[in-house]
This record gives sequence, C-alpha cells and structure tokens, in this order.
Amino acid sequence: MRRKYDHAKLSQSACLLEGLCICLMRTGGDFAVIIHSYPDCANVLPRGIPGQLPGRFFCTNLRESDVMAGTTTDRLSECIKLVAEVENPVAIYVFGSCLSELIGDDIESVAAAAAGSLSTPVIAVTSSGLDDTSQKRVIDRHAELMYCAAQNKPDPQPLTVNLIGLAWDDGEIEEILAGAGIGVNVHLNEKSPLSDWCRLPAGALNVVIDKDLYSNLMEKIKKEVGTPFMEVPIPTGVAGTDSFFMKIAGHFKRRSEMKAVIDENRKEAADALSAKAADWKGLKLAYNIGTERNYVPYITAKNGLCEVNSFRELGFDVTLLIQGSPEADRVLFISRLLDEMKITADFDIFVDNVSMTPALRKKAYDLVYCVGAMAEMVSPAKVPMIALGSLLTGYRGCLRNLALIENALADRRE
Amino acid sequence: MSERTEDRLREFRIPMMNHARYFGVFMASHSIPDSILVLHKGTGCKMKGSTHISDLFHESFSQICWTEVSGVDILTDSHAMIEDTVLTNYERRRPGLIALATSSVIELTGFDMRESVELLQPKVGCPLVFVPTSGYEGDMYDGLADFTRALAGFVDWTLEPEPGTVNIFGYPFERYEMDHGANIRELKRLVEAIGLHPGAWFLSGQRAGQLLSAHKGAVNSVLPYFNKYRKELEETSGRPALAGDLPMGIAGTTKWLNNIAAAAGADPDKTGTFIKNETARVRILLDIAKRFLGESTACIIQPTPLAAGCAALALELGMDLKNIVLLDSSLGGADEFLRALSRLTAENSPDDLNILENPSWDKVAGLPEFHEDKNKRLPAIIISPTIEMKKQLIFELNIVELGSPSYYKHMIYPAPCLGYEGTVALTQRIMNAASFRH
Repeated sequence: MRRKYDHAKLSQSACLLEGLCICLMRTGGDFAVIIHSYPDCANVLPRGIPGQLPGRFFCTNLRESDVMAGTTTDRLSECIKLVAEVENPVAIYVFGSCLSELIGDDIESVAAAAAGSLSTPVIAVTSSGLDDTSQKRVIDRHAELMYCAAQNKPDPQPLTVNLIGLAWDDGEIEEILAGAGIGVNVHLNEKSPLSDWCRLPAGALNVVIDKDLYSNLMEKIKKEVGTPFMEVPIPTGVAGTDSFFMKIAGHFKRRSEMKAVIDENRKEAADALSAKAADWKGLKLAYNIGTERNYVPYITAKNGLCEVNSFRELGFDVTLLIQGSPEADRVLFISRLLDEMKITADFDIFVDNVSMTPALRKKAYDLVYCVGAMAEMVSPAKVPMIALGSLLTGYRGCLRNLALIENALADRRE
Repeated sequence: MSERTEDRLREFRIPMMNHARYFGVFMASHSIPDSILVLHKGTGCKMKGSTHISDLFHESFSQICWTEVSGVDILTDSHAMIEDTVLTNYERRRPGLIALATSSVIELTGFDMRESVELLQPKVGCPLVFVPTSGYEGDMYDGLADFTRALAGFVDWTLEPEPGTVNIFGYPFERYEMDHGANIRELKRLVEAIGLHPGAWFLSGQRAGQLLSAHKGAVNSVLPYFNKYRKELEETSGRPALAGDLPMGIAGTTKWLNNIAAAAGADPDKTGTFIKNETARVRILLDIAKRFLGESTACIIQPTPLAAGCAALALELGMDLKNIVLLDSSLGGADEFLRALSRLTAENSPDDLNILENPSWDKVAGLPEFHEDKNKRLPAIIISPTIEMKKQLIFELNIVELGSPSYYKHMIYPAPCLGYEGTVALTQRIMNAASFRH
C-alpha cells in the first residue's frame, strides 16, 4: 500500500495545480494559464507578489449547471480560443483540477483540438489535487513546462553551463567560473522568467544540486538537445563551495585553472570559518524540514537536507526536526531514507506547527534553522532562529552566513 | 478583434477579489484563537486560506488540520478520516470549537458531511461548526456570514440577556495586528463611553466561550457583512438586531452610536454629550486635514461597506471621487454602495462617479489613476487592499493599504479606520499618502 509520505519523502505532499500556479505566478513571461475548475480553485494563486500580475491567469469558472449538463469541456475549448485570440500569449498552459478529474474531462484532448487552428502552443497538464504529488515533482514539472515553451533550440555553446535551481547570488559564482574559462549560459531558479528558461538549450552542461529534482526536465533535454546533467553539492560553506566549483571544472577538464581561481577567493572565508567552527563546536542545532510548501528548489533539494553539511562544517551538532506523522512505520521509513542518503543524524518528529514549541524544549538547542513563519512557535521555546533559505552561497556568502549565525547566537547569550 | 470577443473572455478572467466561501470560513476560524478548522479537502485547498492572510501576530496556518483526502480516500470512507482527525485534534488541543469544511468535489461524490458532523458531535465537548463552502458560487463574505450564522446557532438564546450589553455581528476580523485590534478597541470605547457594555463580538479575536455567551447581549448590532442574516438573527435570538453601516467618518460613527444608544437604552444626555465632544474634537483635526489635502481625488477599491465608509470620509475631507471599485459579489454592489453613502454622509456624491463591481485586474489597470504614463495619469490617493500592479506603479502611486488582504502593510501601532479614532487615524494615513506629492 502506498503511504502518504512515500512520494513526498520528508517534505509535505502537494497538489500539482496549486504548486504549478504558485510557480507560474512567480515566473515572469508572456504566457497564459487556464485553470479548468470552479471559481474557488483560482484561489490557489498566491497574491501580492510585487510586479507579478494575475491578468495572465484565467479560470473556466465552471458552474454546477455546466457539470450537470456536461458542458464543461465546451467552456474550456471556448476559453482557450478566446485567450489565444485576445491575449496572443507565447504559450497557453491548461491545468486540470479535482473537479475536472472527477467528472472525467479529458483536458489534453480538448486542448489539442482547440490548439489545432492556433499558432500558440497549448500545453495541457492533468493536475488533479486528488492525486497528491510532492514538492519536487511540482518543481520538475514547472521546469519542464517552461522548457516546453522554448520553440528555438540553438546549438549548445562550448564551455557554458546552465545553473538550474540555485539561488541567485551577488555574481561571485559567475565571476569564479569565468576565471576558470567557463561561462554561465543561464542561471535559473523559481523566480526566473520564461525567456530565461527558453535559453536552456544553449548551455553545454546542466548543473543541478539534486538530479531527482529535475528528472522530467533531464529526460526531455537529453532527448531533444543531448546536453548532460551534473549533480553538484550546494555551494554553501567553504567545503561545499570548493566542491561545487571543482566538480564543474572537472567536467570541462579545467581543474588546475579553477584551483588557482579558488585559492584567490576562498582564504578569508576559510580562515573565518575555522575560527568560528572552533567557537561553535558542539552547539546544538535543530534543522527543521517538512513544515512548508514553498516550491523553492534549493530548499527542497535532497529532501530539504542539502545544507546539513554546511552547519556541520561550522561545528554544530545537527538534529533533524521533521514535521509529520510520528507513526512507527514512518520512523522506520525516515531511518532508511537517511541511511540511503548517507546522513547520520539524530531526528525528532513533531506532528504539526503547534507541536514545534515542545519539540524544541526537549533538547537544549542553541539554534534552530526553520521556516521564518514558525517564529511564533519558536519564540516561546527561547531558541534563537535563522530562517530556512537564508544561507547565502559562495565564499562571500559564507562570510555573511557567519555574521548571521553569530548575531542569532548573540541573542541567545543575552 | 471585436469588443464582443473581449467581453466573452471577461467571463473567464479572474476577478480582482476571487476569494470564495471557503476563505471566509478560514478567516472566521482564524479570528477565534481557540478554534481549529478541520479540512476534508485535497491537499492544495489548504493554500486557498492560509496564504491569503498575512498576520505578523498570529500565523494563519497554525489552527488548521486536514484529512488530506486523495482520490482513493473518497471512494473508501470519508467519515472515518474525519472522525480520526476531529477526535485526535480535540484530544490534543482541547479547542473551544471545531469548524469543519469540505469541498464541492467531495460533495459531488455523494458524501454527506452533515451526517458525519451529527455523528461526531456527541463525542466532543465543543461545538462542531460545519459550514458548506461551495466552490461554484459565493464570495468570502458569504463564507464569513455563513460561519457566523452557524456559530450563533450554538448560542442558547433562551437565557436572560443582561441589560445594556451589546453584541456585534459581522465584523470581518482578518488578523490580530493593530489595524483590526484598534478597530475593536475603538468600538468598545464608544460603547462603554455611553454607559453600555460590549458583549460577544462576532468576530473580534474573542475566544469561543465568550462568543457562545452572546445570550448576555440585549441588543445585536449588525454590520453590513452579516446583514443578509439580520432578520433571522432577530427571530432566533428574540433580541433587536440593528442594521447599520460601518461606523466611519464623523456622521457615520455618530449615526451608528446613536442607533445603539437608543436600542440599548443608554442615557441620552450622556450619549449626547459624548458625541458632541468627540465630533468637536475630530472636526478640528479634519478641518486641518482638509486644508492640507486641498481638492485631492480618492480612488477607492474595497468591498461595498468599506468602500462606502471610505467614500463618506473622503467626501467629509472635501476630496473628489471619480472611480470606485467594489471587491465583492455579495454585498449589494453599486446600488447598495450609493444607498450606504447617502446614509453615511450628508455630502453630495459626484454625479460622474464610475462604479465597477468586482472587475478583473485588467479593467482596473485601465482606470486613469493607474495609467503607466505619469503625464496621463489621474493623480489620486488610492485606498485599497494589496492589489497587483506593475512594479514601477507600486513606487509611483499614493496608496493607503487598507482592508483584506494586506500583504505589504503591517501594524504594530493602533491604526483603526472605524469610529472617531478611526476617522482621525485613516485621515492621517490619507495625508501620509498625499504627502508623497508635496
């Protein structure tokens, strides 16, 4: 029997419609999205993202009478044609819903028929929330859908990389790669516009921090363009950043060039880190996962655990604080998963948000790394916190991270 | 392209306010700190509530629990899933009430949530408040009113009221920050100043127990958000239910307070003196503001009752009104807006007032106040909740962010918009927005 956590692993399960809408609301571009459902489903759209306009989103706004009369697909067909005619977008994405799934609407056929006479690509996705999925599947489907809109497939440029899923930085990654003679074709993450995703085919190497996060995209690109994918560690901390650059350089046989560039850039961060790691050795850190659905690749990668080593490098004794069911078979599942991932760490499970406070009180934690929105639950436990996703990448980011942690720990001492 | 084609597409555009009944129920549950909301919905439906409330004081997702129903589950035993979730969370949290919601999709499978709730009620020691949340029709204010009505159904109205105690029905308490907190405090101040006592205030951040003691109220003051159930409340409670607009602006606040005073038997002299002193105090401040604002224009984007209140204040401040956007589909629309405005202020509304009823974003973006070209833009103070617009406009427009949702503006200092204090505070915010132009 499939258990709810099998697919989502250590994170929360997700609804493909909701997840894709959140991702696409963050994505700039001249595309349109049609939600095939009743009006309430358009509520999954996040609002208030500066500069992102909901005008690109449409809903077939199904009425109960449409469902009863069997006219739901007529509305979808009409909506697709009107959107294409009035808005003339570069692509139309059509998303199904629990309702369309339950009444058996074949949205892919309807979209294909409607698209027949149009010049706009119409891409339909069966995205019922009843068939719950995982955050990483949503991230992958989003990337795949973005790539699908790329009509031109230019030849890959030698010695260039696509950085996929990494947070944007202050330009250090690009500088260091350039120092070793490697160019960045495009740097993509959850905020990248469609036009950037369409540049993917021109990169010679696709760099990701978790191959499992982009399995659909990988398959499509390999088939259509043939460029390889490489998994690298997230470049946080000094060791992670070293390894990130050296692995990319290794692919292009530029290890010695890269070594020289790295040596110039890493010293300050490495020295500062050594000093702090000595001070912080043995401090207890609670590393929280499974609490938020954010569809941010660098937070979701490696089941949310890709920054564990960065804290260990700083001397912290890391305990995983995992939200979700504490049933015995899940505990076993988590143990096996951590073994598979070669992560040796204690873990503690808490059921829901309000149980985080007692979970933090169980051990005398010195610091918690968790979703910012959990501050209300962390505060009564009097443990200093830094927000999940706030660690910066690269050597310069490492210095900033040390200051961030130091400030948080100073609160504890006060 | 014909205009008709664009008109046909409008049917599929997402309106500026697209929150449906479920969000209203979510908001209502969030406003009762010891409640929990059990969702028998797909996993994505959670986000239809929690992501739309931005509350720095109390995280919006901390009171929900869910069955996370999947396709397989709905073919098996929905009741067992609900029972498990309700009983487990009742034991763990001991809430003052448990609200339950499901989706139209699950109802389409023939599952009867009411029956499930009836079976469960004897097993828990708090009210189970089930509110149907159709995904097809209705807006958040329908959900809010439906929840309030269902909760009021648990009040034992046969118990004796306490003379001079006033209940309020229909306050849209969205968050615990000091915009709503200050509104509640101001209304209490007004009621207490004329010798009456605040009772159960639906909804105001009060705990379930206090709301369920609404029988103590001798008078129910009904704000427009609950007006559709006013008569029913009067009948079921056996107490007068006073219809009233939002107490905004000097005239609107005075009218609201006088109505309550008369119905609840407040001392007329005390009431008269208090109102006289307050209006005199506030009028001095508003006269200063009027001189500062000159003949500024206001563009108001709000649900009908709040739009009418803001418009009334704008007219009291001598401002011009050109465009009003009403963000609801259930509160009466343009006709009700004009009626409310005429009740709230003696000032004449402009003849050329353009009123849009819950339009799509593109229609609002086409208003002259939002013109991308500064030289062609109609300068105006925009009083609206968070609305999406092109990035550049966010920095160029004079916006007073008020109402729901409010993602950008957060309040740690009292910032009411209701009552006499609210009149002054909102005027201050309007002046602040206007000052960007000076």
